[in-house]
Amino acid sequence: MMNAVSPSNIPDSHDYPVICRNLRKRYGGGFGGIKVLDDVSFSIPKGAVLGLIGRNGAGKTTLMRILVGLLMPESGSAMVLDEPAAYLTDAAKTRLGYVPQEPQSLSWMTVEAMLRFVSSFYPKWDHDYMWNTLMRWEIPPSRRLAKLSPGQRQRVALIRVLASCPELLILDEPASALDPVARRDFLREIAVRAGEAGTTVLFSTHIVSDLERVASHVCFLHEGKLLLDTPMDDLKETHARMCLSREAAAAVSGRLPGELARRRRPDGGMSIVLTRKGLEAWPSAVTAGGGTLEALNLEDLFIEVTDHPGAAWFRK
Amino acid sequence: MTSWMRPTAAVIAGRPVVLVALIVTVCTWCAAAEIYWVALQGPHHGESAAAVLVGVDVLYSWLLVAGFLALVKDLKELRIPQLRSLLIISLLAVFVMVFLAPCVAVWLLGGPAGDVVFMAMGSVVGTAGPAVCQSGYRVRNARVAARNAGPARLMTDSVRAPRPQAWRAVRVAFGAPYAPESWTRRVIELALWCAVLAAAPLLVWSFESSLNPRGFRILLHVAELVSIVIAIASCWLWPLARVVTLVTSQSGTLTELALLPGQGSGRQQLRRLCLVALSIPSAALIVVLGLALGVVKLEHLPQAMYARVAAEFLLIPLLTLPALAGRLTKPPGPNAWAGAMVMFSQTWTWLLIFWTTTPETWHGAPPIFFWAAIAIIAVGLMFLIGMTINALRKLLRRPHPYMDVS
Repeated sequence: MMNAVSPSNIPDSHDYPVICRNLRKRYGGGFGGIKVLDDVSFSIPKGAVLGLIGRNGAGKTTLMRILVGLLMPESGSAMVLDEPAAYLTDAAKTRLGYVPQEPQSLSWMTVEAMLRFVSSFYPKWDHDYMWNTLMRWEIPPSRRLAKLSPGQRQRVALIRVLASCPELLILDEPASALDPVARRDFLREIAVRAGEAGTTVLFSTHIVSDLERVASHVCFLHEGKLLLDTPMDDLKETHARMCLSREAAAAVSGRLPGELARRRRPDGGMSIVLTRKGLEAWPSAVTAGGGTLEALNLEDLFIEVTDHPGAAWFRK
Repeated sequence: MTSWMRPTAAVIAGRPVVLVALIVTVCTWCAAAEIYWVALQGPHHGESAAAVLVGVDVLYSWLLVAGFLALVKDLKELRIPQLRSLLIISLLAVFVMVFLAPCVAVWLLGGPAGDVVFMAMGSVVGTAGPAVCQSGYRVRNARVAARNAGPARLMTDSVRAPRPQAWRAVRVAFGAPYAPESWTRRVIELALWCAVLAAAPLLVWSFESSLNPRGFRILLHVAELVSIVIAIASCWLWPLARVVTLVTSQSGTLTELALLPGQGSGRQQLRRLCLVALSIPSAALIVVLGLALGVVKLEHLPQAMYARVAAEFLLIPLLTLPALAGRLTKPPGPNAWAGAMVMFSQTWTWLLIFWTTTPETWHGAPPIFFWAAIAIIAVGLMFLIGMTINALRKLLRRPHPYMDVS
């Protein structure tokens, strides 16, 4: 179960490799500081693939850097593999894999030298996977990392992290520089790891189709706030767009129950994104004949919720 | 016209270091040619000057041909339609600059035929160097590729490599000059470094008979100072600048180090980081100090000069460590860089003061001036040490040294 936006819902269990409570982060001090994360709370169950989606500057990278202990939150706590994220032990690090947005580390080494160097630190390193994937993705092992294209560097970073057989994978836009073939290959690998080995995956992306293909859960992060946190299977049943005519829109005065975002259309009508718990009834404005209800796919829902001034006000 | 000029300009702008190295080398060649010409006017025949000129010519040809080969590679990658004509023009230009121009210059300067032949031989050596290096690199790459592609690879590679010690891992992550290297490579690097340091004083020494004693001593001191500055820059500033670059740029090295298993607790990581970052520059600086003291002894300078040189070398870490520690604790920004540059620049001001001040300087001055100077220096030193300690204290408060607290 993953509806854990409220901190009180977050469990203290070994079955949740990632547990965040009330994370806040601000860059720069004083009044000019920029709020990047604002009271973010969620947890990821073991074996889940959580897709984190958000616009540029939403705070995805910051959240991930906090989770791997590279950044200190202003307040709140982050537990990763039953340890505080800022104080990960060596044992936890062997079980954790992280791919940054632009992997550039050890760029003066050749691909082979880097992978050999890194492999010695991981007890469960999969050499066969490493070599097979290097050959499949046609990456020359003797080439320096600095000489590789951004896409090739990202592939090497993925091989590096997947070959270490981690229990928790944190991937910051891992497929952004991959070509379609490599991306599909990578997504298949993620699905297999999560399904067969029980690997927990947290990955951020701008590509909604990737999310729909592999994610079991989805989170919307917008302006530092977590707007949505739900299993993918429930998404279509629990979220819909209500389109109201001009007359019906005039009749809607206050905020509807379960309203996430609203947008006024050029013809004077209004579209409202709604959510409901389980299979409870939609608001009466729909049933009264004033509006039509449309199913939303993930991309539509994301745009409706985030492409809206002050969307962050409509928190679940 | 612009169809090939634009990409060529892009290639040159993409690697400005090649252009800068070329300009510096051409200027050096011209300077050596001028020395050669001056030597030819004197009573001596100027063999040493000719040898120097040939040596510079080898380096000049090497850089020019290496630059040309890099240009060829880049142009091929750009797939310009006029590639063939562009390559022919470039090849002709390189031929003229490497072979024709030096030989004609020596001949026009009035050099004997033997010098012209030597110059041509130097150009041949300089041309062959990069070509041989590149073919060797290709052969080595082909071997590695063959080894990796072979079926035996999978068998051997399943054998786990031994885990390196934690401090060794930090060295590897830092790259050159910290990364472990073979002894052969280290010896070659050391030999090259010694050759670079000795070049300027030896060059002056080779002209001892052509210079008056006073001019010779001034030139020799200037050459020694240049060598010492180069030595300090290469031994101390360059490795620390490397650390600063790794810390400040988004190179990912710190991410790698922070998440690499086997690095221990935060305190252990900080201790290891400081140890690795400072050990090699400190050892190298001590070697340079030894060399500087050796020069003082060879020149039979007064005893006070030993203490003065030692104090100068002590000032170098005192002035640069606060900048380094500040960079480790603060987020990157232009102000911090400016601070570091000011700190580095102050080193030479202090050196100048130390070199020029003598006990006679204070003769006749009120004692208050002397004690005020001492107090200012003491406060300055305490301030610098305090800055370093404060930065280390901030680092200690973090869960691990690679964490960003911005």
